[in-house]
Amino acid sequence: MKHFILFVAVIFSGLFFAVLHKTEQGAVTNSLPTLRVFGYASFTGRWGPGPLLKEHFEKTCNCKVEFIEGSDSGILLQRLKIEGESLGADVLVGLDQFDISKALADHTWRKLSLNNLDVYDSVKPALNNSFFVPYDWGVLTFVTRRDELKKTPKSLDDLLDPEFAKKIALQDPRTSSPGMQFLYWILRSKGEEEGFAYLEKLMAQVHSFSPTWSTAYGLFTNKQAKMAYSYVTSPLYHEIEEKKKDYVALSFNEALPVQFEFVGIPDLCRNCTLGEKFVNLMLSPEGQKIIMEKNYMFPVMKGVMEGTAFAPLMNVRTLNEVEIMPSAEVDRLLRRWTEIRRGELN
Amino acid sequence: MSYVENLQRDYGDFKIEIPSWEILDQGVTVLMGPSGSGKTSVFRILLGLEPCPGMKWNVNGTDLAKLKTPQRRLGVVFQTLDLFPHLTASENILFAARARNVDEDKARKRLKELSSELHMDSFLERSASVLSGGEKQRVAIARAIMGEPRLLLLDEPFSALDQELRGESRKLVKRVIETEKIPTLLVTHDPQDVEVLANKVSHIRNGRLT
Amino acid sequence: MSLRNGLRLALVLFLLFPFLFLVTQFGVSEVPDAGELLWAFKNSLWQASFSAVFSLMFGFWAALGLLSFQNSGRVKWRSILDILCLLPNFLPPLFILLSVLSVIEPFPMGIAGIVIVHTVMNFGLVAVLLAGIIENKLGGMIELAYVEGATRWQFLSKGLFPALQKDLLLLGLFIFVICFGSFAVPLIVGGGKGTTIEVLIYEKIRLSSNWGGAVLLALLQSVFIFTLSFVVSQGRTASRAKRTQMNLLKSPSGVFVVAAISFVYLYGYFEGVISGLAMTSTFYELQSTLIWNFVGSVVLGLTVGLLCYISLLWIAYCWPKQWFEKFLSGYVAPSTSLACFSLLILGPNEGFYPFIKIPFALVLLNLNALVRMGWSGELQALQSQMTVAYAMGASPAQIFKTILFPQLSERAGILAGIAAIWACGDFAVSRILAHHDLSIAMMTETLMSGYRLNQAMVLSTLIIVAGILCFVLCVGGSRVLRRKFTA
Repeated sequence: MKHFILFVAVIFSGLFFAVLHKTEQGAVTNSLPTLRVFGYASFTGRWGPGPLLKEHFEKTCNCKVEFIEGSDSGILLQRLKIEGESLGADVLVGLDQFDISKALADHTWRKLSLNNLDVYDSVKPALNNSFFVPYDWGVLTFVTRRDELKKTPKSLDDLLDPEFAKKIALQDPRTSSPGMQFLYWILRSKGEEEGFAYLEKLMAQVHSFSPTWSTAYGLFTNKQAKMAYSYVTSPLYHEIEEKKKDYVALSFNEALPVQFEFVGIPDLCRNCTLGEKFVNLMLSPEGQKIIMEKNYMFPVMKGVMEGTAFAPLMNVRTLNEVEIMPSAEVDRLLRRWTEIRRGELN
Repeated sequence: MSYVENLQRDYGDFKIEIPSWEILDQGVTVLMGPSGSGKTSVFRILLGLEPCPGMKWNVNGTDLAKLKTPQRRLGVVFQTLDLFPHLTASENILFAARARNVDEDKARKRLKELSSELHMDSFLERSASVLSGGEKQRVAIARAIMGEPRLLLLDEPFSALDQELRGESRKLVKRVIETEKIPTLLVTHDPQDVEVLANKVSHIRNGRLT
Repeated sequence: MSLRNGLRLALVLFLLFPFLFLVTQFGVSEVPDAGELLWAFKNSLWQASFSAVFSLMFGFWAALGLLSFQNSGRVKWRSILDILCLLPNFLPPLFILLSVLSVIEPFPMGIAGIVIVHTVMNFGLVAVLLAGIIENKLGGMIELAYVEGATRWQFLSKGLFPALQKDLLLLGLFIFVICFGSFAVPLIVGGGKGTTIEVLIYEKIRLSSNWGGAVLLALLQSVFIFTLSFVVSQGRTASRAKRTQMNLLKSPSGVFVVAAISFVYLYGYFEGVISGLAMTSTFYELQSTLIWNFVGSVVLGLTVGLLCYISLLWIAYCWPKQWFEKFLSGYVAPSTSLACFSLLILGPNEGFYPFIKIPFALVLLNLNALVRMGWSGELQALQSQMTVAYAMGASPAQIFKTILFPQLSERAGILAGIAAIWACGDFAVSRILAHHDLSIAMMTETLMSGYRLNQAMVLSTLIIVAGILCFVLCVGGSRVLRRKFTA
C-alpha cells in the first residue's frame, strides 16, 4: 500500500513540479532583473504582440521580460488595486480612454517623458495626459460579409431598417470596451437624449449583446449575425490569415469612434527604468510594426503603416477628440443604458 | 432486572410517555404493539439514537441513559438487518468484535462457535449482498451477539422472512439466546413471536405501556 | 471539540471563506437599490425555474434512453451516451451557444433563448444522474410492476413519480442553482431580461469597484438558495437496490432525445473544428507550448480531482450530523469573481501560488455541486449501516474505514472525475488567478479573444481529451485505492 501511494505521489508531484518549473523558467532561476508587464491575454499571449516584443527587448536590455495576464482592462485595474506592490507590475498595457480616469483615481502613475512623438494627427488628442501614452489605435465600425446584405447601412438610422432586425451582434458596454465605444459613438453622434431614444429603437435590431468582443465577433463569423461591431482592420485579419476577402468594414455618415490602447507605468514599479525602455520599444518602429501586425490595430507613430494594407483603412472620418470621461459619468451612462434594456420586450 | 424511568418524548403530533418500565435481565422481554404505537421510537431511544433528556436506565447499577450509544454496549438487529453488503458474512460478524476491541483470536474462536450454533458454515465466506433472507438474518444476530453486549435489542427481526423460515428462525434465536444467556428486548407486533420467545410481555399503545 | 466536529467546522469555514473574508475586508454598508435588485432577482428566478423544468423533462426522457443500455454487452454504448450527455457541461459555453444558434434558426432571444441553451447544457447531466437514481432506487419496483402487467404510464404516474418526487425536486433544485448563478448565457441570449444577480455582482465589482455591494448581493443570493434548499430537502429518503430489469421503463426514444440534443450542440461545434483544421499549421511552431499546456490541464484536472475526492470523503467522515447536512444541502458557492478575488487578496500570487490557488478556488466553487449531484444521497443511503455500526460501538474511524470508504470510494472517484473535467475546461478562474496560459482551456480562450475562433475550437478538442484522461485516472485511482485499502 505504502509503495503504491509513494509511486502515485512521486508521479503526480513530478508532473506538478515539471509544469511549475516550466512556467517559472527564466524568471526565477536567472539573476537578471525582470521586467514585469501586466496586460490582457490577447496582447501577452502566443498570438499577440507580447512574445515578439519580449524577444526584441531581451536582446538589448540585459533583463528578462515576464508577462502577467489579466482577462481585461477592468480586471487588470482591480488586480493592481488589490495586489498593489505585491503584483510587481512595472508596465501596464491595454487600458482604453474609458479606463484612464479610473486608473488615475485609484493609482498613482509615473510621468512619462515623451517629447516630440511623430504621431498621426488623429492620435494627437490622446497625448494630452502625461501618465499614459497610446501605443495603438483602432477605428470601430460594423463589419459584415460582402453580398450578404441587400442594403448597406450608411448611417446609424439605416441600422433601424427591418432588414437588419435581429442581425446585429453587439457587445454589452458593462463588460466590454468595444461595447462602451458603441454607446459613446451613439451618444456623441446624436446627443444624449436622442441617442438613448435611438438605442431604444435599436434594441429590436440587435441579435445579442455579448459580454466580450470575441463572443460577439464569434457569433458573427459563425453566421449567427449578419454584422458585428468591430474594427475597420478586422477584414484585414481574414484576408491575411485566412485568405478570405469577403469581410468588409462599413463606412458611416457619422464620424466613427476611435479606441486608443494606452500603456502606463505604475508608481509602485520595481524596474521603472526598464519599464520606460519597454514603452520606448513599443513606440519604436519595430515595436509599432509588431503591434500593428499582431494586434491588427493601427500604429500611433508615423512611418510604419505606410505602404502596408493597413494604410488605406485609416482614411475614414473619425471623431476628432478624445474624451477622457470621469468614471462617475461612465457609470451614469451605463445606468441609463441598463434602464433601456430593462424596458426591452423580448 | 433493569429499570427504565421517565422515558418521555414529544414528537409534536405523537408522544411517548413511559414513567417506568422493567426489562428482564434474563430471557426475553417483548415490547408488543400495533404499527404506529411507538415501539420503534422506544427502541431508538433505548439505543441512544434519539435524545431523551431526563430518562434513567439502570442496569446493574449503571445508568445507561447517561452513556453515549457506543458505550452502552448493546447488541442490535434492525428490521432491515443492515448487513454491510461489501463485506462477507464472517467479516460482518468480526466487524462487531473489532468495534468492541475484542481480542482477534478470541473473536475468531467465537465466530466458529456462533457459526455452528447458527448453522452458518456454508455461507460464512460469501458476500453479504448475495445471501438469502434467512442467512442474512442469522448473520445479523451473530453480529449483534459477537460484541459481547449486555443486552440484545431486536426490532422485528423476523418480519422480512417467509412464514416457514420465521418459525425455524424463532426457534434458532431462542436457542442461541438461552445458550448465550444474553438478556434480550424484542420489539414486535407478531403474537407468534410472543408465544415462542417471550418471558415477559409489555404492551404499548399510543406511546404508553398498557 | 471532537475531531469530527473540528473537521465539520473546518469544512464549513472553508466553504464560507470568500464571504467571511470579503465581509471583513470591505464590510457591507450600502443598502442595494431595491428596484435593481428585484429586477435582477426576477430575471434570475424566471430563467432558472424554466431551465430547471425543461432540463428535468428532457433529462428524464433521455434517462429512459440510457436505461436501455443496461446489459453487459451494451455498456460501451451506455458510456458513449453518458459522455455525450456530459460533454456540453464542460465545453466553453460559447461553443455550445454557437452550435445551438446555428441549428435553431431563428433563435428566440430572451428567456426562451436562455432556457433552450441551459436545457442543452444541463439535460445530459440530469439524464445521467436520474438514470443512476432510477437504477438504485426503483429496480425492484420496476420489475414488480412489469411482471404484474402495469403499463408504462401507470407505472410512471402511480409508481415512479411519487417515489422519486423528492429526488426530482432535489435534482430540479440542483439545476436551478446552476442556472441561477449562470453568467455568460443570460448576458448573450437574455435580451432585455438578461441582467441576473450574477451579472449585477460582476457590474458592482468591475464598474464601480463596489465590493461591499457585490458581497451583499452574493450573500442575498446565497440566503435565498439556502432557504429554498431548506424547504425542498425536508424528509428525503434514499435506498439502494441491486441492478434489475428495466424493460418497463427503457425507451429508445430517449436515445433519440440524447442524439437530437447532442446533434444540436455537436453539429456547429464540429463544423467549427473542421473549418479550423485547415489552419492548424499555426500550431506546429507551438508544439512544445501545446504539450506543456496539455500537461498543465491534466495536472490541474488531477489536482482538483484529488482535492475533491479528499473533500468528499472528508464530508463522509463527518456525516451524519443534522446541522452539517442542512448546511451542505443549502449552501451555494459564491460567484466566481468573488471567490477568485478573495483568493487574489489573500497572500502572494507569484511563483507556485497560482498552482495552489486555482485548484483551491475550483474545489470551493464545485464541491457544492458534487454534493448536490448525488453525494448526499449516497451518504443517506448508507445511513442505516452507519447507525448499526455506531450502535455496535464502532469508532468514527472504524466506520469510515470499513463501512464507508469501500462503498463510497468509487462513487467519490466518479464525482472527482467530473470535477476534474470541469477543471480542464476552466478558464474563468484560471484567467483571474494565473499569470499566463497554464492550460489548453486558457490557450483556447486566448485564441478566441483574437479572431481565431475556429482554431480555438480545434484546440478545445484537447480539453475533451484531457478531461476524459483525468476522469479515467480519477475513477481508476479511486478503484485502486479502494482495493488497496480494503485488501
